[in-house]
Amino acid sequence: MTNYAAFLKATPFVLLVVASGTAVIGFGRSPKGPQSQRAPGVASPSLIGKAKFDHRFHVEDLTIECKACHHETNASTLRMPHKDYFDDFWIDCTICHKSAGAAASTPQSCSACHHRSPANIADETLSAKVVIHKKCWECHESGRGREASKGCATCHLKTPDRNAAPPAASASSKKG
Amino acid sequence: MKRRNFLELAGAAGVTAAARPVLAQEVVSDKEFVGVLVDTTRCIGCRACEVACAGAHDLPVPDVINDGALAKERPTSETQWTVVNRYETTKGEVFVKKQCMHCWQPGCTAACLTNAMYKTDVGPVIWRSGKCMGCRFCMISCPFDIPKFEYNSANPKIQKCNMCWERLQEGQKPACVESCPNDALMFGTKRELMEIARVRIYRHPERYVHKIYGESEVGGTGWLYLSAVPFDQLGFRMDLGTTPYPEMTTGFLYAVPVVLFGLPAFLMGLNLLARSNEEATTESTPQL
Repeated sequence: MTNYAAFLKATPFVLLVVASGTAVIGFGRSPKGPQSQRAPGVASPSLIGKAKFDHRFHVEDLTIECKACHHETNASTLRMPHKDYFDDFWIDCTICHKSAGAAASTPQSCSACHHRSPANIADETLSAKVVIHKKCWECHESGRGREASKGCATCHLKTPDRNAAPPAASASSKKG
Repeated sequence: MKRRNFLELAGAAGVTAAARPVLAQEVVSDKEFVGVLVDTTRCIGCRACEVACAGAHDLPVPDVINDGALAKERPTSETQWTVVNRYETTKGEVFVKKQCMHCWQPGCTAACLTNAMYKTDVGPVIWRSGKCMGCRFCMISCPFDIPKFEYNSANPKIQKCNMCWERLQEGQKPACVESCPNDALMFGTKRELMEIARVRIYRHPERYVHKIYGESEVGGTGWLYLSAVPFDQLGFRMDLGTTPYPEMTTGFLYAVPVVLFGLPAFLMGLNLLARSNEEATTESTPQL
């Protein structure tokens, strides 16, 4: 038997190993793996109709990074609302900073810090309803007057149409 | 003095004295009046508050997307306890929510003959259907033109915001406040709301006109407003003064029992004094 024959016999086996290896690695890295399992669907109760947020759509299809919305993971740069919170001296730092240091390293659910029932009315700066709207409105412009009335239906009462573009500015270009 | 005269005089004096407790009645309670702070710089005019109000009170829900109601300034109506109006101002378009102001000393409550308009012990002014007789004095007396009578109904009601009194008793906030997505509406005691309003003005002095409408207008109202532009550009009345409407007539009204009893007593006293001694001692003999 020549080396060539031996090589031919080994090829299918080698190919099988390579294919399996690729499958395993590919499975581990694909977005359909553990990452989107941590992006659960969110439905928020509301007086004007339950608001559904399609987490997977934003994470997978629009490939928005976690830190774009979950600012608790990006606090090292003191981005976004941190400065606003200093504006209202009723806000208690320990609401988010449960221990010394960064507030959190993994994305939390909004209500971990943003309560649905604020303790006092000054606290409402942090209320889930308001901050969630403000966050969504960073990309989905709320509009004013009639435009704002139409915008409610984007999330409330019906599931947003996956194929429809958001009412204004694209999501991925605004975030960085 | 004869005993009869003495008794007449004593009776008149006694009744006048008895009227005094009515003049000075105070109820002391530890409950604070609640209200709502409306920040017109935050309102985006989505009218979710109108929808929520209608839903909470079995009123027809306005079609906020298609009715084009923002084109004209509207008052409240028999079917809408609250409306959002749009104003063109020096700083652009501003939306202002309009509803009963839940005054601390309401003109409507004072004007209501049957106590159907009633200021509850926590602040909201409610209309009680069982007591109303349909005189509409409340409509005349309201400086903000809020109560609306159902002229076309066989069993007419007065329609007016009641600060979701039923919801408050269940520990919930008014429906409009609950539905506002941008925190333009905040519910709490007037004391807390005044603090928050002042903090907002102090922190952002360039963003607000330095006035909280409702702080002392007609003696103070439960609903407070903040604005980026002078309030007269937003349809607010600036001529109301700080005297509560009931106080404009309390002087006259409280004088009524005093005059009613005091004047006869005084005149009787004059009469007695003016009689000569002869007349007082001799009894008039009937002519036979």
